Amino acid sequence: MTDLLRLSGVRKSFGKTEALRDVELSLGSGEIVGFVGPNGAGKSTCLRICVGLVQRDHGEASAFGLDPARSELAIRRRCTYLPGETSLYHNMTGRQLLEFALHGYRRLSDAEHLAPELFDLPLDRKIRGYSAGMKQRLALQAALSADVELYILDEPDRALDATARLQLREVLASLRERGKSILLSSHHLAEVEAIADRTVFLLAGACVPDEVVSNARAEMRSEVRLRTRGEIDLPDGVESVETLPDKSLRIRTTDDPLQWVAKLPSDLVISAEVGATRLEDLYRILTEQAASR
Amino acid sequence: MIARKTWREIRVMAFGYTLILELLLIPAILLWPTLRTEMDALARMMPIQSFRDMILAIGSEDESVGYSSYMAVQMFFKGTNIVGIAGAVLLGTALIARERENHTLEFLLARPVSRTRILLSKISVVTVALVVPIFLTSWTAIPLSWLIEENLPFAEVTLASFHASMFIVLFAALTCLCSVLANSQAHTAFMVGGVVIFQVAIYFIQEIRVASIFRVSDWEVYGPTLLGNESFYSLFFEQTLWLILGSIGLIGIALLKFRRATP
Repeated sequence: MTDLLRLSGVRKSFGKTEALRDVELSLGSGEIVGFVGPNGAGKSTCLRICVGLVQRDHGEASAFGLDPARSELAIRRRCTYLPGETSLYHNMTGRQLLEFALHGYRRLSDAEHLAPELFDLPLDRKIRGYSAGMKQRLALQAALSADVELYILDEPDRALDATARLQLREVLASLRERGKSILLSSHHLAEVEAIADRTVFLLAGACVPDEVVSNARAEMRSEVRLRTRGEIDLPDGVESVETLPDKSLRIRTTDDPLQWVAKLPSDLVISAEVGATRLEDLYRILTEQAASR
Repeated sequence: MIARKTWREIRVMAFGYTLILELLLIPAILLWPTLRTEMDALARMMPIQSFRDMILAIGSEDESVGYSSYMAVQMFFKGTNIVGIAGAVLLGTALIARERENHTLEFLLARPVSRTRILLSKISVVTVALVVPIFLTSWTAIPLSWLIEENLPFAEVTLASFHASMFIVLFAALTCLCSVLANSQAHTAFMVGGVVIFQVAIYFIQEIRVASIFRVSDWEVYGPTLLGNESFYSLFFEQTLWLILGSIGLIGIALLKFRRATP
């Protein structure tokens, strides 16, 4: 697979603050790559470097074989970038904003059919009258209606409700079927897990190596996540127990977790998951590991 | 695209600015026959010799000298200098600082348009919005003067308007630079306001007023120009050209800073 986008050993500092440290990232044609990390990890800076809005200090970067530091316009003509922490022009109508945002791009011929419900907005109304969710859907329409090879989306599911998030997932899948590539940064880890071909973790400005992610996933396979009706006496063979914010228990067992679950009193158990590699948990383990280093 | 968006944002203020310039001009012209008889008393109240000379010129027995001097003060020294600079600050602060303040700058910069083109499109629209009203209101003074049986020469009015416009464009360019550097419109207005107040303060101190930028846009420039005592070449090459070069320099620095700005 040819890399449409590639960052290698990219570093960036703002004053004395080191925002990125040797970031490695690649995106192939027709691929969706999820980009995950806590606030301040450097995800937005990375995306901005990809489209030439921020200049890197060190390392190599290329998009469509071009250096974003030298050919930012040529790159931005072939991709759209949805900024994460941005607003829209409140004095414009939705239609005026789309016209403004898509100026210079060829539009997808069936853009409005791509996601009729997601993009069903009162386009003749001023944006100041839109809700936060509607503004985000309009920004998405502006980014996804362009017929380009690459879509770089910084938190595209921000302010979207569950239904709209599902619709967005369908749009992204539809674009991938057409051979488009998508680099997607998000805090909704389940969305990334559901749609991305690969996930890159960025912690404290550095990408987490694949083997560290694999080890964390392996560690999670021996875990049980348990939801019960009230407190119960756990069977023998528990190595550690942690109560999670949703009141479920994360349990590490000394025995085979499947055999351990079989010993639970079934009438008191609401659900028991064994070895589920939830991205949320993986993300938490990696964050804890990074913090302890 | 950028120019249309900028015009949409500033058009109300631009119309308001034009209206204020015109509204200041009409009563000034219509009150002239009454005012010209009281110039000696006014002259005695002036704290600076230049102002005394200005008032005495307005009260000159040669009526055409008096009226031209009066209109030089009303149209340019008072009108464009005060309202024009206020307009330049109001329209110019919106250029980049408002985008930054409203968190729309990154959305704007993400368009497939160069930063140079973004800034030049914006400053061009603001320049047109500032300059066109200066010419329009100055030209309307010519037929308005006929109402009080006075005459203003078209060529001299146009030449003075051009010089006044370039003076205002200099402040628009300064505001553009401050708008690129500042985080908010208020911060931009504070920076430009500081420069203007400092320059006005210098202008009103007889001994050092020569160092004030307002020396190139006061009665001593516009009076002789409207009277036809200043040729285009001497005004342009001795004064206007420096205003244009200063504006280009300020916009050049703004472009350099804007190209390095992070969203």
